[in-house]
Amino acid sequence: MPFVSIEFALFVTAALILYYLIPKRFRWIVLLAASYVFYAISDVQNLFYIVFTTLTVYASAAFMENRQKRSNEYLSANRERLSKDEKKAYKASVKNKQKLILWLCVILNFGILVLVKYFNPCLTAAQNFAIAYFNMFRLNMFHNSDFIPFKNFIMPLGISFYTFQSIGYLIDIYYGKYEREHNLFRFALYVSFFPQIIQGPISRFGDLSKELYTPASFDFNNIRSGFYRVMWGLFKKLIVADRLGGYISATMAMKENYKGIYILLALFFYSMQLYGDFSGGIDVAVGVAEMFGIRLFENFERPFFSKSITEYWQRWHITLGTWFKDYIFYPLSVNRSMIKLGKTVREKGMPTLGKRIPIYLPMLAVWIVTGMWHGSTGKYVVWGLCNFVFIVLGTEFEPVSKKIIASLNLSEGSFPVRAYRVVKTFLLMSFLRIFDISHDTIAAFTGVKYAFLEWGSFSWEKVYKDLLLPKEDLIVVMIAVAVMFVFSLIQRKGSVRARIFNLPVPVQWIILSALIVAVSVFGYYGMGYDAASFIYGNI
Amino acid sequence: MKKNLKNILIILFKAALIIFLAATLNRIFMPKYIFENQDGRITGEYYPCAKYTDVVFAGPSTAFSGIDPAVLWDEEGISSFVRANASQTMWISYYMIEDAIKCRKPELVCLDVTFIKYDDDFVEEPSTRKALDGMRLSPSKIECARASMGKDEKIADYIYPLFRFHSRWQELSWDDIRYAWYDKPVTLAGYIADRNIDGTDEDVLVYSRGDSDPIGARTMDYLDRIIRLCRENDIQLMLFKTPAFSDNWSSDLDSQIAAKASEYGLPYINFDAYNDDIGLDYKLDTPDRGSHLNDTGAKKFSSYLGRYIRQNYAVTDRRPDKKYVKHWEKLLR
Repeated sequence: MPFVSIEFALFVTAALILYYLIPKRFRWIVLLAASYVFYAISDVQNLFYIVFTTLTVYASAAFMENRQKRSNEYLSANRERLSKDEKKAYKASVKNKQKLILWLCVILNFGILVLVKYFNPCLTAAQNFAIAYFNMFRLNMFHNSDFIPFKNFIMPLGISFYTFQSIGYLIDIYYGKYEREHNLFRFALYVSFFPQIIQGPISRFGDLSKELYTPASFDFNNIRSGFYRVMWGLFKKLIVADRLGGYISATMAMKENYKGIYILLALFFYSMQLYGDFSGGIDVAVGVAEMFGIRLFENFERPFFSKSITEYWQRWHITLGTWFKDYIFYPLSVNRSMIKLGKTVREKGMPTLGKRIPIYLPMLAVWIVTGMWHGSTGKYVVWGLCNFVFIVLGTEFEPVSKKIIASLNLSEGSFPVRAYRVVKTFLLMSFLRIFDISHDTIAAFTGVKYAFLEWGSFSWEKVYKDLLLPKEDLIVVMIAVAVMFVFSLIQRKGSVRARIFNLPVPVQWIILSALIVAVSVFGYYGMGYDAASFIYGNI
Repeated sequence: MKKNLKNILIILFKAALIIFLAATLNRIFMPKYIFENQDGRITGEYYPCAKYTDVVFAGPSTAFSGIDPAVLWDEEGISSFVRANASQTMWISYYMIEDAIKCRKPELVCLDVTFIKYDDDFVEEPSTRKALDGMRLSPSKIECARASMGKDEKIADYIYPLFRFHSRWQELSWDDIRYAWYDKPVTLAGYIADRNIDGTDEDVLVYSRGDSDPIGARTMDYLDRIIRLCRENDIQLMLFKTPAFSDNWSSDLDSQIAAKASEYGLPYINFDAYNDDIGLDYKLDTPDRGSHLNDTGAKKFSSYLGRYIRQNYAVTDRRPDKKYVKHWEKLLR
């Protein structure tokens, strides 16, 4: 059931009515039922995966807690009898058992994720390789590329998101950050909460559980505010994102004929499309949750206003970034081997490199995983590596950059410097997206080369007629992007909705009506349009 | 209590505003079917006439271009309405009749079977839209849409047509706003007069011989359902084919329909056989080389049809009834 459908609107309405009609203590059950119904509608078979993750993570957390309890009981019962070393050894053995279970559960769940996500592409690559190999020796043993059977794994809806969320929970339980959830069904709700299952945000147990299990009273302001947020998400998704897909695909498919500015325009449009699509989807998720009185974590904070790539990634897909930071970057950077390696390098007369190693190596690991998370083909890993290289270069050359700015008698906070940094970051990040919109790594590098050729041949007429972006659609997109830009500027000073709600009621109505009319009329949906599903919904 | 009442009033007011906004948008964006494709107005124009309709005609374009209810009224006192649309399939005819019965039970339903020769999987979105855009929201409309939709269409597009027509924003004109709430009739009780003349070269109508494919099972099923629907509601039913000088009709089709009609003890009449009695001249009485009748042809055929109905079916002569007279005066003005 796509977010952008009448069915979803009716589903949410029915769930809301039911949710607020029943007593507070049972409301989480409505949410759980709604989440599982929502999930089952996408494909009943998918239920197996989410139930498996729920059960394994729940059982692992239960084992860890029980082991800890028994350990505490044993230690308190034998406080006098055991020596300090014996106690230490006992604690270490308990911790090892807990760690074993943690790793087992992590491997099991990430194993499934890897299987459904990478098995098909890997097998296809292996087949292609085999065919090419045999053909090289004129052994035409295989006549089609599907000769290896059993390769059709269907990616369950939102598996990347709920797997990360569940494993994050388990790691936090392991480190004793939270008390585990004892009720299996309540835990199942945390894993499957339907507004965020398609494309996040990836919530933390400590934040989301409070919201899920302590239902708010009915408050019309929540409905109103959530509705505004949903409409804003649809504005970004339907007016901007889906309208640009045709131009981007057409340009990249025919890049031999449309080089230079056509490709640069495709990259600019793709940034708009991806932002509109992903943040629009998050707006819908957050808005729907808000109608239930549940606050989800924000996933975007005006990323296109970032002054560096590092900052950009702190403001884009925030919940994924913090997940990687907390569960991959920090554990790796404080890992004994990593610290030891840094120390060894420092002692060998390379103090700067020694200092950087515990930062850059975990960062490299994070970016490889980030690339893999975004897609199952090699181009995403290359994209991740490029991000890593750009961040390192940005960090290393920062002193040089500061010197140049100082030599120009400009201060770091001055408008020209800020504008330069923002534009530079936007251009770099947009350019890196060429991996996203190219078929593979080679095509991406060819695209990079073509982007700097034949600038003089650009013609808007070709954009309108040959590249599937009619003039009227382009005007609509540009106006919508301008509206988004203005809203982002206002947002810097606080919530836009809060400002709207402080306006006189007739003005509020004009704004809401304009939003509804814009989405209904200019939205790229229905027959004659091929509205795309959410890009991040396929991850 | 007072505060609650105030809140409820505010919510109701807001809901009314949203409904008004949604309805206005819908009206603006829907095709108006005033200056072209006027058959798109027929379904909607039926409702104000429903309480004065004793005879309902259902069928494809041959019906709305060939049957002039004004002639039937003038000559026989028969108050009728033509619920026909271009390429109207048997299932659309079924739901048109069902919807008409829900408004007011007619004395006679006349089903033009000309379109019966088309396949069961015939889908033509513009025709379905013209038939259904004017239909009031009811289970009949939803079922009709379900039965007629192509694979890319959605029920919601028929319930709230803005979902389908919002893409017209690029072609909107002042007329779309001016005629958004236009409710004056564009057709005459479902009749659309065509005054063009584009006659045929041949003099004698010859059907292709035999060997038509059997009529589709789905079409036949809906024909069965129409017959049963009329029986259950104690309504007379007439199966007929409007005259047309076209070569894609066959005597085999006639045989299949006649067999189905006789199963239920119903008469079936193909008016092609009565061209001379009707007085049709296909050099003058057609706007498109015989596929349809033009205004002169329609007047001749309607006159004959009126007499046929009067002689063969129990239909009230409403000319003494002042309300009917007033209704028809208004329509004919």
